[in-house]
Amino acid sequence: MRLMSRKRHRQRRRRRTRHDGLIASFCKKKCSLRQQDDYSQSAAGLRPGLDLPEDIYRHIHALMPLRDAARAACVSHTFLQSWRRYRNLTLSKETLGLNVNGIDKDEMARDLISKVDGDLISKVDGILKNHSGVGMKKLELNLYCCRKVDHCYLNSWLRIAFRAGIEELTMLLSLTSEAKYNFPCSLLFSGSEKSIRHLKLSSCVFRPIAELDCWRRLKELLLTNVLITSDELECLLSTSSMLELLWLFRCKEIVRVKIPCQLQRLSFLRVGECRKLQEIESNAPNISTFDISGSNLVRISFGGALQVKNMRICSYQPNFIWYTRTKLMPSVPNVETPSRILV
Amino acid sequence: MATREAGKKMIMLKSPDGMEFEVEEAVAMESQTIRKMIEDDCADTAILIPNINSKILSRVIEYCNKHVPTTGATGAAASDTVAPAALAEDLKIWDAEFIKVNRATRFDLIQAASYLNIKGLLDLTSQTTIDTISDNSLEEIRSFLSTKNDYLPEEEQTIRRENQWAFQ
Repeated sequence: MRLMSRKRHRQRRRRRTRHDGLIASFCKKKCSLRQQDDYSQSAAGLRPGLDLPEDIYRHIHALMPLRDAARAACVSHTFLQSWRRYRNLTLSKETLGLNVNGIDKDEMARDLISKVDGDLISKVDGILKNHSGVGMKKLELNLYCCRKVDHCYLNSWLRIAFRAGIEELTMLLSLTSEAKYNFPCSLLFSGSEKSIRHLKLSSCVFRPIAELDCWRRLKELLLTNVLITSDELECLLSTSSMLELLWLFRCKEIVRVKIPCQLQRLSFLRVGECRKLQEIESNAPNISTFDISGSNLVRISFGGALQVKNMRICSYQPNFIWYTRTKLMPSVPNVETPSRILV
Repeated sequence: MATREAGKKMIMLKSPDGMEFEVEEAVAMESQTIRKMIEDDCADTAILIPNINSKILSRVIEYCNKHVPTTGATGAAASDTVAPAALAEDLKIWDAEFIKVNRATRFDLIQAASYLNIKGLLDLTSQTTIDTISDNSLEEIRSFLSTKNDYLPEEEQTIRRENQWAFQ
């Protein structure tokens, strides 16, 4: 790149600039950027760097980490408005400053743990209830350390998120919770906007509604320790034609994973430690990465999907290894990376 | 005027204080605002940038020149032999040096990046500002950003109570 800087007829142009209010172009084809009112205070350039337009304050605020953003809300109304519309909410002990190192090792600290859990819930509740519901795109609820969360709280938080037209939702609940939370699919699709693109759930019951169109924008689905049946999963997949990634881990009700050929964009499939799993039948044509682990023998067929390039098999089951080598590998001739078959 | 040199299309950018900058079209198109003008066929001659003085515009062009995708436009950094990770690291170091400017210049750069819609520069300047005010008191943040406390005392108390957790 060559950068040239020249002063030509500077005085003349300056005079014209003053007359034209900077709008006129100096070339025969009129071509200039629109003057913004915000910047009009200085004829020679931007507003001098003493203050910034509100939209820039909002941009700066949106980039702040959660804690800093919450503190900055106390600076002025501009920042408060921005906080009420904060886009990406990652709510966990860590982001809310409730990290108590080493506490889990101390049996005497049970009361304290319970207090921290209570603090976490009340802070999450405060933040979500004070959010305007506008602008929220991503909500991450990391509650895996809370042994007891009232399901009414979870419902009300998700209601706020769904009403806001959330695109990315992560909800990680405790493995040891007494009663599994039933994910409220009906809330998710009560609005007109079917916006969810990324859904990551752990330790809950997930009974997706078989309503057509519900999942049409879903790109990524990750389920860990989630109760969902084979039929429910199949039904969900049949209406998620945009799906690119499917991750199932320790979903103990799943016996069969059947992926329809309509899932043209599905490229990543990982299934791990689903102890009742017997069969994976994929007709999705563009799966490039396939990963399975577990201790049971699983029959795998790829239908017409010959695109698999990366494959990883991890099993404690000798018959599965034999099956993989003799039956599965010949059916996926395009595997590029050496498949790792581990016993 | 737009010219061609060594097969590369050039665009003339002009600041309101009478300076002209001849830059490669690809460099100018790092600005989404200018890109749109070029794509709308509204920039085959020259573009007046009414809000950005020559000092700031030259810094913005310097940034765009460094960050334009590598097809020989960025000199040594454009070498095909340099690995992407090394290029990214080089850019990071370069950015850190680039943004070592006083507060007024940084704020001018933020506004220029916003006006010309150059995401990388806007994020760089904004992030540097966030890093600067990160551990400051509210008064220090207000002073740095030249923003006034427009809360009534009781309003401020309420919002501070609501966000008390963030001060602990």
